Amino acid sequence: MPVETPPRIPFRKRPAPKNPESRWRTISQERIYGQRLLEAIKHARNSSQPSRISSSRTIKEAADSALALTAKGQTRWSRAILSRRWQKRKLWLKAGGKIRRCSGTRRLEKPAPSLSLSAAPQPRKKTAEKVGDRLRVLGRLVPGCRKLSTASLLEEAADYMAALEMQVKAMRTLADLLSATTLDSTVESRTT
Amino acid sequence: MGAGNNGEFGLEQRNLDCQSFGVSPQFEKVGEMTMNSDSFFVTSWDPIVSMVEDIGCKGSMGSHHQTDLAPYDVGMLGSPSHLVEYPSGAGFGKLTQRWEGSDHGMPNLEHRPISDDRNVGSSPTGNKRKRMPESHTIDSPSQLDSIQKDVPHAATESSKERDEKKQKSEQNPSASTRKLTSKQARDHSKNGDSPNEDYIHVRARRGQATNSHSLAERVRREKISERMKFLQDLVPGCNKITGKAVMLDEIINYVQSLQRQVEFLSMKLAAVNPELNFNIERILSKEILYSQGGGSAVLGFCHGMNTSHPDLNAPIQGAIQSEMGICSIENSRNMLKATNSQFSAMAQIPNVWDGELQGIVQMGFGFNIPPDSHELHGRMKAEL
Repeated sequence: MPVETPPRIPFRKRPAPKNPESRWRTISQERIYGQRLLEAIKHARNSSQPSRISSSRTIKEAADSALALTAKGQTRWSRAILSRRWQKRKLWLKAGGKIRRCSGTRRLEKPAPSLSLSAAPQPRKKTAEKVGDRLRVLGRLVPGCRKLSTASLLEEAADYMAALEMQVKAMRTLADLLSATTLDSTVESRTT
Repeated sequence: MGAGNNGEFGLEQRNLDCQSFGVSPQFEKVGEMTMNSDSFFVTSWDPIVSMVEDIGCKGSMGSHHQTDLAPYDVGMLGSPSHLVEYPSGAGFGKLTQRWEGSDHGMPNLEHRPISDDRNVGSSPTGNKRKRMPESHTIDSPSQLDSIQKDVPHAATESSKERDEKKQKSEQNPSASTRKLTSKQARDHSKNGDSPNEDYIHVRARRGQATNSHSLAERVRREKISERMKFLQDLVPGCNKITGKAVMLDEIINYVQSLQRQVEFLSMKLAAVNPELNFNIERILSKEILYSQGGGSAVLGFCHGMNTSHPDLNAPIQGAIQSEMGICSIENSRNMLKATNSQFSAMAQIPNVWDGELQGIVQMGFGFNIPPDSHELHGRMKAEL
């Protein structure tokens, strides 16, 4: 299965936005994503040096990229993920692999933005401000959607949520299978 | 040709003579659109003139984006009474077009009413592309026709206007509040500029403000609430929540939890990855193929899973087939046959990790593994 990884994703005028439910919840999509996920993990395993400590992040990035690829670049967050990945790759190539990984800390790694802090200084915030705060937080959560209008932000968030659900389902299946296999093998190795 | 320039142009007096329209009206404000002709026929309408010079008395003015008058010429020309009527009621809201008293006569005649109409068409929408019945008293059906006709053409008018209208550039068929004002507009928009027709026609509802700003605001709000409702369906357990703030809270929590799950699972996968290398062979020889429905998905997976794995260990195949009797699910049989054929092309030992992964995912993907899988005799295992 060919995996398309273009160095730059051409921005076309977006076709009619599809229903996130129909896009992400079909079995065929899951299948496609699963294949991509496998390839990505394989690739990550092979290419990344074993000395790298946070291989979990490699896998996570691979999974995210696979997810973004499955989105076919129709959504903003998918484009943001893919462009982030390619930027990182370019950096690595330029520096000859000397860039430390922690330079690419994602905002997601930060402690989750808490709403209580923002509400503390003014206990009596108007409802509109609260909504605005939360919209900003949501914009930070969805990749590539910080400065986006409310309507498009909500749309991107819906698509992103559906995609994340599928990703979690796929990864959980994979992890369960693998861990079950591992357990079995270890048990057998002990008994034999 | 006509009698030459008439200084006064009561529209009642308008005749189809080209030279009778020596001076073109200048439309400044809505309120000024009276039949006092003096205010109308003032100055130049450069685009028209340039067009006229280019094309002469032809109807097609496609060269100028502002004066896309082609289809209307004949129609307009044919009904002077038409011309008489419409300015009276129509508001020329933000008309900045100017007319030129030209010597060209006929073309002027053609253009001016058309541009009038077009302006009229654009004016009710102003920048917002809406029909505001209160502000425009349309007296005659012919007026309405002319105005409606202009709608699709105004769509191609100017990119500037289009930018202004960009906020409503979506034409969402599911939104029920967007109504075309008349069938004719719809038809014409279909005929004319259906690919370009991005605009949303909104009619002010009864008892609601008809200010263009508030209409735009309402459209925007409805878009947002529609999307919030959709999100509500997406997030589990948010059926009873009312209010944007609480809903957004839930959405944020859910997205954060999903992201955390992804991180956790990726850690888990990273941990599981290296261990399997050591026990592959054993796994291969002893694992049981097991499937529980979702066969079509897995079948698809099998077919898609085409890697460079030439061999398959014969004992595994034997193991598979012996176990097939145990897990007697119909889907599994079909799937296993397919997977067997796949397997026969798989599994170099060095690359066994990859193959196993694929086998695993083949089996397990597309359907859920029961959490108590340990208790089952056969489990979802990789079969290579």
